[in-house]
Amino acid sequence: MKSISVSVNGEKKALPAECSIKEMLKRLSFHDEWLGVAVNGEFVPKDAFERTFLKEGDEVDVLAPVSGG
Amino acid sequence: MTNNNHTKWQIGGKELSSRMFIGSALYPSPAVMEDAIRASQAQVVTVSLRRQGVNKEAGEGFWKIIRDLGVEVLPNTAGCHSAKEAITIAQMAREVFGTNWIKLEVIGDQYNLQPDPYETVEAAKVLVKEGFEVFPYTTDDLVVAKKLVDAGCNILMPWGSPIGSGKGLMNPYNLKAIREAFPTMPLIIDAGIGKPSHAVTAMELGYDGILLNSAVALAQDPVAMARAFALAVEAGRTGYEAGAMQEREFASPSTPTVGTPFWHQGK
Repeated sequence: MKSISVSVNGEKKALPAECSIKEMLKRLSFHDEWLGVAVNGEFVPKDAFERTFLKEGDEVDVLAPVSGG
Repeated sequence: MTNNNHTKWQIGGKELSSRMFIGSALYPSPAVMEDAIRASQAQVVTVSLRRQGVNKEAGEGFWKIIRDLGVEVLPNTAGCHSAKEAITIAQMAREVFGTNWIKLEVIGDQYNLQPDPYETVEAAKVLVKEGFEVFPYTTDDLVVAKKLVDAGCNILMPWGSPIGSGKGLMNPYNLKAIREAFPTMPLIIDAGIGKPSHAVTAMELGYDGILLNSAVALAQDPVAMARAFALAVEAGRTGYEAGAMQEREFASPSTPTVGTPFWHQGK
C-alpha cells in the first residue's frame, strides 16, 4: 500500500495515501472531542475532517486545551 | 464569599459581577488552581491551546476542572509572533472552546514579551470581520489603542508592565490617557500586576477590571492571594465609584478648630 510521510505535532508519521484528517486522528489515537486541527498553518474546521485529505509533506498541528495566562 | 455586593457590568456581550479575570497557568497543582479560581471570584478564566502530547489525560483533567467551574473562558493566542499565526489559533480556539472571545496576543519581543502593535492591529482587523470579540493585549500606547479601536475592537487590554514581571503599573499617566480617551469602553489591565495594591490602583484609575495570573499562581499561598485580590478589586472599584477627595498641596486639619481647648487669644 502506498504511504505518505506527514509531520504531526512535529513528529514524522507514515500514513496511507488518501488519508483524511478524521482517519489520521483515529490512527494516531487522538481524542477527538476537544481538539483543533491546522494543516500547514491553516485552520481546518471539524466538519471538514472527513473530506480533507493529507498529502506528502503536510505539517499538521493537533491542539488541545491547556492552561494559559 | 459571595458576589452580593458587586454591581453587574457588561463586557463582550456578557454580564458579569466580578471585575477580575484570572489565568489558569503556573499553579502548584490543579487542585490549588481550582481553589484559587474560586477564591478569586473571577468569572472569566484564560486558557490556551497547545499540541496534544503524550500526556493526554493530564490535559483533559485540566479542561474538565475549568468546565466544571462554570466560568467564561477567554482563550489566548499566547506564543504567536505574527498576525497569521494568531488568526489560525483564534479560529481553532473558537471551535474547541465554543466561544467567540479571544485574547489576542502577538508577541514582538521575546525579552520583555512586549506585544507587536503592527501584527496585533492586523490580526484584530481580520478577527473582528470574522465575528470574534477581540480582547487585544497591548501596551499602554494611546495611538496603538486608537488603531485597535479603529480596527473594530470593543475592548482594550493595556499592560501594567511586562507579563509575569509583577512590577505593577509602570506608567499610570499613559493608562489614565487611555481611560480618558475611551471613557465608555471596557478597559482591562492585563499583565504585570504583582500585588493587591497594584489592583487597587488599577481600579482607582477607573479601569473596568484586571487580568492576572502569576501574582496569584506564584504567591506562597495562591488561594489566600486570590482572596486578597478579590478584596482589592472590590475596594478599588468601590473607591473609584465613591469619588476620591481632591488632593491638596498642604495640611488641612480634620478635627474642628472651633472650641479648641487651652487656646488663648493673642498667643
